[in-house]
Amino acid sequence: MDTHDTQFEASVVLHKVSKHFSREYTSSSFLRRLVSGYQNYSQIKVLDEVSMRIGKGKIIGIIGDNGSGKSTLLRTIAGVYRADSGSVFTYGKVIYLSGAGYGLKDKLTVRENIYYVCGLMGFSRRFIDAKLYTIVSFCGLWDFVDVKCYQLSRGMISRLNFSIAIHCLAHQNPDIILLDEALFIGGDAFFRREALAKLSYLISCGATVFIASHNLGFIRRYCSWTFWLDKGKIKMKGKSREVICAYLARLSE
Amino acid sequence: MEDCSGLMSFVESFEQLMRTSNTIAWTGFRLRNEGSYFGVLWYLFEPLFLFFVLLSLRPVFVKEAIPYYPVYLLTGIIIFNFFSKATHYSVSLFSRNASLLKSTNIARESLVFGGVLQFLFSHFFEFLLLLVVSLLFGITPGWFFWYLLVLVAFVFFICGCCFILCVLGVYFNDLDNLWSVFMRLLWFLTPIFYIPPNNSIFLFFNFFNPLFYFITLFRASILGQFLFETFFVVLFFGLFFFFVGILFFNLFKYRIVERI
Repeated sequence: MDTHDTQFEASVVLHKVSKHFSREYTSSSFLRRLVSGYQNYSQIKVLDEVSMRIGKGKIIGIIGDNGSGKSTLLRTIAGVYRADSGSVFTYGKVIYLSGAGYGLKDKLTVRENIYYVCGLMGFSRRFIDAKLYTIVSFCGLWDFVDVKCYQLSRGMISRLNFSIAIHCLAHQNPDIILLDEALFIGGDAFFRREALAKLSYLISCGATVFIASHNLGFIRRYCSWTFWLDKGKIKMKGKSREVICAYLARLSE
Repeated sequence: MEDCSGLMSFVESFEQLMRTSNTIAWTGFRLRNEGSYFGVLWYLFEPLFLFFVLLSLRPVFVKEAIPYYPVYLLTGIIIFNFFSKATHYSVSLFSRNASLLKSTNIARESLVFGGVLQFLFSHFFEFLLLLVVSLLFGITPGWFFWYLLVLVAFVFFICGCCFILCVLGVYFNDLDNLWSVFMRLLWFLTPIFYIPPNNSIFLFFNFFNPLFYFITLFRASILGQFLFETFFVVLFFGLFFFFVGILFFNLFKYRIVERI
């Protein structure tokens, strides 16, 4: 959200941020490439001079086609990637939540996985002891708490992933929350409803929130402002309703 | 006041780094032999079997009399094992944890420390084995303190090597195979199961081989002959590799996530 208001308190500032990736086309060996002289990679611009200035407590939507740079943008803000050029400033504690989950271990039980993932997030064992019941109850897996994860269905795994992530997020008290396809919630309709309610509560708690998603309904409902990314560039920014309408109009062309 | 808050934040980050590393280490340690019938006992069986094989082949390799040869041999095996396993693990560390690194912003260093810590846990089992064997041969456990002292320098050395290797492993896929070959070479060139011969090429190689100094010092400390000069050499190797490793790692730690 760009503004020239001097009273404006920024939470995230991006100035002409660009990011390139090297993309390999084939898996030909070094020796084959040396002999043929064929270069099997090229540079792809994933973010192209993206600038934005977001105030504290705003809820921002990021939409765009697959490969438009949504995840890269959030990862760059989170510090997972470094920008090749331009600058990124964040003020406060940043939490990046990805729908991909945290890599639960198949050979560990549900209980052990909770200790593992929460431990990775930096929580103490005492804290996890106290939160275990809440996390397992939320995903409804008490009957499976000592079952190894490879024996669970995909829906159950998805519920567990979401429950761990959302409870870790709630207790880290972040200033900036980056949700990357975190709305891709698996499980049954009942769980999805509960999960969306929990997520809605969290994003309305005062932190600055970025939501990158294809769930346009959710973005329209919760985000005051939306950026439409196309091939790494900001194609449009403005009120969510207007940007989403323009995006949908482009799709129907 | 500002200095104090900076220090507090450093302590908090360090505490979090250690907690994350510890989680990674314990999980890795548990999963390594998960589902096997003997479980953690494999941490004992593995070096023990190699020990018995090499002990039975002693007449082939060793013509001279070596005092406390079983202790000499076992020390060489477990120290080499620690180095070899931890470094080999670190070569493919980032590609194995790609999804984790891309979905969270955890300190990348914690993966390296966690890996080394995991093999330090298994070294503890091997150490117990060494303790039993040395007691069987009448060596009193007064060497424990010196062993720990050298172990600290050794852990620094291994961490440094792992920091370098995990970065190189992302850029060069061949490193995994190359490192296996190098480890095999190092196994034969380092005096683990034989006495160092007075061969100029051998001496020249081992002059630059940190493992040679570490193994020599571990053996000496067990026999109650702490070699202070060698200790300063291994301390130098430990700190040098650690700081070079950290510097090298910091240069690439953001770029590597893009490559995996």
